Amino acid sequence: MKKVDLTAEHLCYLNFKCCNIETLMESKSPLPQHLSRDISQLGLALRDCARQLRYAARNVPGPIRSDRPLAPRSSSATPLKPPSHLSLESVAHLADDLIETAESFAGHAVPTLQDHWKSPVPLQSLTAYLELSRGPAKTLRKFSMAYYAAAKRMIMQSGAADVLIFEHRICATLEQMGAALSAPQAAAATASRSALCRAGAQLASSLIEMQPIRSTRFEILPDANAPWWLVTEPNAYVFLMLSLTSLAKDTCPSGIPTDPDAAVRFFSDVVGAREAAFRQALKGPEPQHALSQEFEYVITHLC
Amino acid sequence: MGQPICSLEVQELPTWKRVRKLTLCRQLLQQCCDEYGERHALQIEIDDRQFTTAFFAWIEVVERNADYRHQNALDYFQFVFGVLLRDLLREKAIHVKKDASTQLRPSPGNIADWWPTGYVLTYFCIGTLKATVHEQCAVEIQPSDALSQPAVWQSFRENMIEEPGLAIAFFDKFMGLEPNWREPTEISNRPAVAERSSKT
Repeated sequence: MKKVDLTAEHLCYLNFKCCNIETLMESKSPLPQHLSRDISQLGLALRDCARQLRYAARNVPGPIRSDRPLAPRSSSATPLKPPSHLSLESVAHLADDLIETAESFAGHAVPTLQDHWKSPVPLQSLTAYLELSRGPAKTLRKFSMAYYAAAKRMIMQSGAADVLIFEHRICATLEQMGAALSAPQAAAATASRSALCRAGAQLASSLIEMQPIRSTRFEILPDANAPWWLVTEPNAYVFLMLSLTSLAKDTCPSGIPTDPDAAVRFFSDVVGAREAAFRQALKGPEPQHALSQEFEYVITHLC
Repeated sequence: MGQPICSLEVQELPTWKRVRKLTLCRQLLQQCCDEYGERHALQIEIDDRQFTTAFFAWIEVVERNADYRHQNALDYFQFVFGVLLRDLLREKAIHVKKDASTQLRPSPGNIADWWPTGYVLTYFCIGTLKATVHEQCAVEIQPSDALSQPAVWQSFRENMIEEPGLAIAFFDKFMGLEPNWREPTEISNRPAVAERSSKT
């Protein structure tokens, strides 16, 4: 009896904890919002049903099958009838199987979708991304996938054991930028180097504000491969670096390394060398303007 | 001592413009390292992160003191290339390739082998200074005898470790100018500035 009580308490706790986590968690993939909500609700309802079923099955008083006295086998030729009802224990097992299968499928499906960071990630020019920002939602994923993968690859190569990035937040940033720009404004954004630097600064500061990098885990204190600013403020470090890389593809296409990993290392060094200036720009009263000036300063001295 | 390393060839883009661009400045330094490697059979590598840090620190000084160029262009270039030497040395922008360091048989008499990184960086700054002054001021300058004196190099190396700013003073000495040993990093205290002020 004591064992049953403990299990019931434990299950109640699990149900409660699971529901709360699911409600708070954001999805990692940029599914359309209405679909994402529906799927999430459906999953929650299904899981709750299964858990309630398992909980009920385990808490109905009465002997479980192994306690039952064995019925003497009839020696007659009458065939054994199948049981008219499922035993409570088997229902609980079914519920267990259901949850495990669902979790296993989900676990296998998610990582394969986001493996593209394992290969070098070539970034496009800022103008190419700005053009995407006014296109359909599907094309925006090209930007968010590239930035997601490049960010993850950079952080992992700096010695992180794990990193959690919300790709849809990256996607939403460019989408908002595109929505805010009219066609003439968008054309003006790429008309000169100064205008491009302003657009690059806007992209970087919006990404930093959105905080797409939710967590990084460095098990060993970082050595020279991981600058301390990357460890303490990964969003600032990584998105300044990626925005600068895209910007430089426009402003000095022949001067920077062509290999994607080498380009990331190059701009990582540049951001590191200008860390104090970038920090000051971000903390000032007009961060976007200050950042734009700093971008222009850096770009002027690149190539 | 034979032909010095880092003698820059005249190119379409002026040296002063090239040296103020990160990627082009790195190319010039790489040429020097390669040249040194061919002559001395010792590979010198650029540490990209340290080089980038040194470069941007230097650019700040170049821009902060740009006004002095209008007063005394020759001394302005002399000063800023001295600062470049200081920043590259301070940040350890180059190093001897790890597996090659065992080949070293240092002897103070042979400066190039005794202090490869100091030698390469000093000649890099002399080469870029000479080319810049030639292009921007139409003046030919030559290093002084101090550049071939091991005792000066020994003093340079020892003092530079304690006070990197002294690289600017030693660079002046190598180019035959009177250094300001006390405050070499202050452009307003340069002997050329004091001389000019006393004349006016």
